[in-house]
Amino acid sequence: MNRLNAVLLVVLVFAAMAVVTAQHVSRQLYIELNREQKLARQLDVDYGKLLLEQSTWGAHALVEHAATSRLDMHLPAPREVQAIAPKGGT
Amino acid sequence: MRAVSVNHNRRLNNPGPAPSMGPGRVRFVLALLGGLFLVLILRAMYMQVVQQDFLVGQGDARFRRTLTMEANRGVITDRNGEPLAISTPVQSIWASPAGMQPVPPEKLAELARLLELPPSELAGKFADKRREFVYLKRQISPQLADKVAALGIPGVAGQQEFRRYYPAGESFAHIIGFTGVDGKGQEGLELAREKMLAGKNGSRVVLRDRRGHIVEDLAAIERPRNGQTLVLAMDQRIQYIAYRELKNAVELNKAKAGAVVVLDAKSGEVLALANYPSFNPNNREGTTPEMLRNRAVIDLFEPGSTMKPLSIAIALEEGKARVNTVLDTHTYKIGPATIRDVSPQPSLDITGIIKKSSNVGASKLALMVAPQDFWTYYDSLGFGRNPGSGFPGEASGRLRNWKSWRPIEQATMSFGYGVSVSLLQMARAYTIFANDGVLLPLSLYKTNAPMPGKRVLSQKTADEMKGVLVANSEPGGGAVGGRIIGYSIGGKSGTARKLEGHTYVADKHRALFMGFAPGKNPKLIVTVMIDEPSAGKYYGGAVAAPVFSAVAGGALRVLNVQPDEPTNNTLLPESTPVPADF
Repeated sequence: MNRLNAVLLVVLVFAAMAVVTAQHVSRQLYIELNREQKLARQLDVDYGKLLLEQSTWGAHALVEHAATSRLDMHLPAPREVQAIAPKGGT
Repeated sequence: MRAVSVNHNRRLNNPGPAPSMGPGRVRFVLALLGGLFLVLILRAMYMQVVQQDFLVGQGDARFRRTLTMEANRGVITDRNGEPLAISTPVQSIWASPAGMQPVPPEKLAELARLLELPPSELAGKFADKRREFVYLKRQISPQLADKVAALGIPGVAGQQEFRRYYPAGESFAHIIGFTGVDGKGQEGLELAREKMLAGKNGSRVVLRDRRGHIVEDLAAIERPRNGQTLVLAMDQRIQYIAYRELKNAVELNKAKAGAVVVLDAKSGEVLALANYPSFNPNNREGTTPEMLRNRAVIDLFEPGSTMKPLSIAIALEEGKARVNTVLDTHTYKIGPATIRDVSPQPSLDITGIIKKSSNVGASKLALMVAPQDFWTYYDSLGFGRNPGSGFPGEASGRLRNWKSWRPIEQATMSFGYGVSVSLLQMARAYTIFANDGVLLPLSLYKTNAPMPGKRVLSQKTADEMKGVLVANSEPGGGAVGGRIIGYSIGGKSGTARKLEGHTYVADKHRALFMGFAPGKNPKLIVTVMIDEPSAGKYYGGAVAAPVFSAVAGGALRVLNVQPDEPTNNTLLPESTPVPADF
């Protein structure tokens, strides 16, 4: 009987320690999870901002302006266009 | 020591007149103690039972927090995934003047500099000690908010909010609309699709320790459901071209307003829908209700001559006439009213009626059709019905019941008076010419498979009318102004007088052009409406047709449609007369 009690006591002590450790690890992981979730949200936000930036710089009016004024480009006039029909097509 | 012991002995040995320790006294003390215990127990019970909710609430209020997890509002993109509306987080700076210590002047000055507000205004807001909450500045960038937080003024804090940005600016302003400062849709699709875009905020209940760290989740986390991405049928590039050309035309012709609709001729998707005047959705200062109007969808007008191809088609469909039937097109009378043409001809065939835009011819053809059939046909084209695009406030137009029609009304309806439509409805009605007689449902959203349409005309009639409209764009026709170099087109111009009160005024017009391109195998339907051009020219063929040409030409280039008339496409001299058209 005593022997059994002793064994149970040891088991109890280990279990108690395990509970404490598990709790600790769980807190740590939880904090990490929170941190990562925050990061994910931040990256999401950054992605949105970059998309926005991209479309701002890629706005048609801006590109058109740059093409005509800085790069001296223009739409080809009809006379400058030569359409080539695909083989067998019209 | 001794004395004490003596005393002690004396007491033991000699109780003398000791206070009576009778049973009454013991009972009294016990009762007293018992009574106190009872009070304690009652108090405990009171707190446990009666006050429990209050106490638990107080405890929770101190350590338990419900955090809102904000859902991101959905992105709106065009058909190629280009973003048209995106939310990004911004900070709003607020203060709680009620509990604030006086702010040191140098910090106040620094805060004012950061927020770009006059220091006196800030001081004024801080001075109002009755207020618990006052916004100092809303929607500033997170970087700036960090700087404000670094000042460390107690009682001044930031709060995260979302702000909507519209990269495409004014060209898409009417379709997309905008959200209010609270992030809810107020206009356009932001309003119409609010439910889908808004998503649902989530929440989590947490236990916080004294330092504010989250220690534990107390309840299952309710995850936020982010708003869905809304993919429009529009193509940003075509929309831009449409808006640019429309703006140029409205300014050039000193018009009041204008609108352009571009449809995909095979799927019924709305590729572009532009209105002018427009506004900047990113900064709506100085925006008037006039500028907010989505004219293409909301404004109703009488379509004038652009109705003729539609009304003539039913006469062909019913076999009342054939394409080569020649009609007497002298001015004639229906009751007291006279039907006359702007450029009278003695006789015309169907192509001639379209080319010369003959009211006489169109009305004679219309009157061959029974009123009920005529009404059924217009009804099946969607006139007087909601076009079903799902846009808020979209107009149905007006088509009166055929039972009350008089012959003159049926006649005028054939050339586009006495029936009111929106530009979007007209564009949709023209899908029958571009799509072998099948009327397509409209879609503002990208569709994967084309939705089934409804057959209104037989393929034969549709082909014939398509040929007539293509012929109309050839020299001598009314739609030459809409020609695109390299492509054939088909179309009809119109110049509708505007109704003021009960009379049609002679000096106010709507210049219209409805057409499709390429003419042989239409890919696009483009409809143009210019309201009250006042710079001299006002004919649809002179004012609206060039817009058609530029928009359809640009769109065909964007869509990489192969030119169907690449060579020997003669350039029309500048002086080509645009036929008078009514």
